[in-house]
Amino acid sequence: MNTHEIKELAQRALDTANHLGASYSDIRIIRTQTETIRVENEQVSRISQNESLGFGLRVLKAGAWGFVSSCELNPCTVDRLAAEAVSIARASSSVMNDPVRLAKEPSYQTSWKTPYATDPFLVPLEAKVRLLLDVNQVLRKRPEIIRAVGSLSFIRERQWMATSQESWIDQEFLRSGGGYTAFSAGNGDTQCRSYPSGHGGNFKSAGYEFILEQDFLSQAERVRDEAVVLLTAEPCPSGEKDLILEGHQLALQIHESVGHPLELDRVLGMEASFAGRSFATTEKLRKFSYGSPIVNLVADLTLPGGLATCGFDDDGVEAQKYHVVRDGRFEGYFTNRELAHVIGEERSRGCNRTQGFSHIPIIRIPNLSLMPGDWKYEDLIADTQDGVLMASNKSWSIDQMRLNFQFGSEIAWEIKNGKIGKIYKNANYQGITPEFWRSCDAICDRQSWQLWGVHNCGKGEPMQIAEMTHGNSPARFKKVRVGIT
Amino acid sequence: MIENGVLKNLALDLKTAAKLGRKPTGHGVAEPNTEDPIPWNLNLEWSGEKAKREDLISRVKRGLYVSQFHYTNAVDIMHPSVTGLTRNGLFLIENGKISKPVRNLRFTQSLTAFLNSIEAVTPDQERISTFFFGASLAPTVLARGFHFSSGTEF
Repeated sequence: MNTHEIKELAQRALDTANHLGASYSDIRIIRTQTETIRVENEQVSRISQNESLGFGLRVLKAGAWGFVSSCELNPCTVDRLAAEAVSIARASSSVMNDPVRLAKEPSYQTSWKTPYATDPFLVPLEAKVRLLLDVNQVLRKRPEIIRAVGSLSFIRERQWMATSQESWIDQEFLRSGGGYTAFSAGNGDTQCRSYPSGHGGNFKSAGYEFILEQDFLSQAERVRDEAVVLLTAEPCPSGEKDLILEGHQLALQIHESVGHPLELDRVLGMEASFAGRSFATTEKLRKFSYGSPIVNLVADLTLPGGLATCGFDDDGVEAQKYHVVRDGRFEGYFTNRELAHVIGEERSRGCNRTQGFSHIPIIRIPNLSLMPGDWKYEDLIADTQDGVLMASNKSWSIDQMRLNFQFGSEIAWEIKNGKIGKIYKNANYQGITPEFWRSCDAICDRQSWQLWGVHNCGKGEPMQIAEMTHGNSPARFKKVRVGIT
Repeated sequence: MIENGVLKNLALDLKTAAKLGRKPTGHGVAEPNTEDPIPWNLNLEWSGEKAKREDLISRVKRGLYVSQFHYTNAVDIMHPSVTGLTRNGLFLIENGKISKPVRNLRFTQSLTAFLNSIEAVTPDQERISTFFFGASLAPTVLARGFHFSSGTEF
């Protein structure tokens, strides 16, 4: 189908819904192309290439939502399903408490595209497989490494969105990422080490240049050797220590203890039966100390390279940048057009997103970053007398109000009298969200600020996967409980 | 899988069975999935005794009745220890009776130590869906010395 045909079909769906009494409707026609390559122990374990195309139509009738989706892009199906969406909305309105009210948003006729240098789908498969196999070979050079895995993933999503409020938005997203892990065994133990991080590596809105920038091969020997050293390392001692979190571990801390608690639908109980609710209830807005005065957390859908970066969200709301925590004070939520009014805001923050064409959009964490402070990394280490440094998340658990968390990392280092010392294994820490962020007394500067992409955030029933990025530089938290056994 | 407290069998798919030179047990996860070939879908059930839930509670002088665990994850896979929290109702048991609701707690506990501490299992079992694949039938169990490691605020 060409763009003209797609536009015609989209308009047909909106017109049909309008004719049947819908007060609002929007349609997303989405083509998704994915490629995943995995290797394990110097063999290719998976090459999967998928493509999907379909539409999702959302209508408002009598104040309630109706949603339908299909992979059949033809006038007959569009007519039939538009009528079905209106019937579903009518049925939903019979059990609704409050009619849906959409926050105002200008209409747009525009397009947006992820900037990139090299299209990963045009890079020969052999080159991608070779990169992973070369790394795998280095990882397997020591007998203690019993399993070495590596993967690359690429996603391209073309999305045409039309709304009954006359928006026509054409977007193309491109996401690339990957990484590798060495699993070691010996001394009655098993350990792992990853690069650039666990959980499948790091991801960015970018092309193949992002894979090459990370220079996978250059870190393989270090990662392998650390996995082996961990087998005979001391376990992280139990006690209260100053804790320095960096990179992927701090990204996870932001994701779980700031990201999810500030999703407004979750705060209002709409996720309660699944992942839970939030301690960050609406009466706390602008009146609650979320962290120490140096803590600034910024939601930014315009962040270059951010996995959630877009021109517009799935409500057709333009990408924005704003503080959710400013100088330690709790200042904002992630919202959509439906719920913005609940906290007295006239405009949505543009956080409504859907996985592919077959789901209804829900509020998702946008790119959310801890803004840099003014510490040089070397000065932070030199200033720490009795601490632990943790990197690359391995284990994570948090309660359903997002208060009590316990996170573990692949590796940790002792910091004694301003110097990095021995490696600890099985390191973890536990805290209560606002107490923890209030104990943050140092954040490193922009020089060590990096983006960490989460490519597999699950939410909703049925579950949807979304992507977002958490920029951060290493930060120190005072007197944290570590070494929980 | 486990008989009279002793591990007897492993869940095997085609790949792991071939590696061990054994017969697969039919636990391969259907494709497409987010993992590479992996044995899963345990669909465990327990063989219980005649005891009722109330009988188990009556055998506890001071303890806790846990309705549900939430967000469990591995801490140290060799022991193997896991952490997680209680949810949807945690109750104090005093002198063989549920006395009052209490605030939720986090546990950090070795699974094998937990299984070894079980004194009683009810025959009544509830079907529980697991987060990713499959489901299990879960009885009520009486376990001693379960390790709660921290508290929360609700």
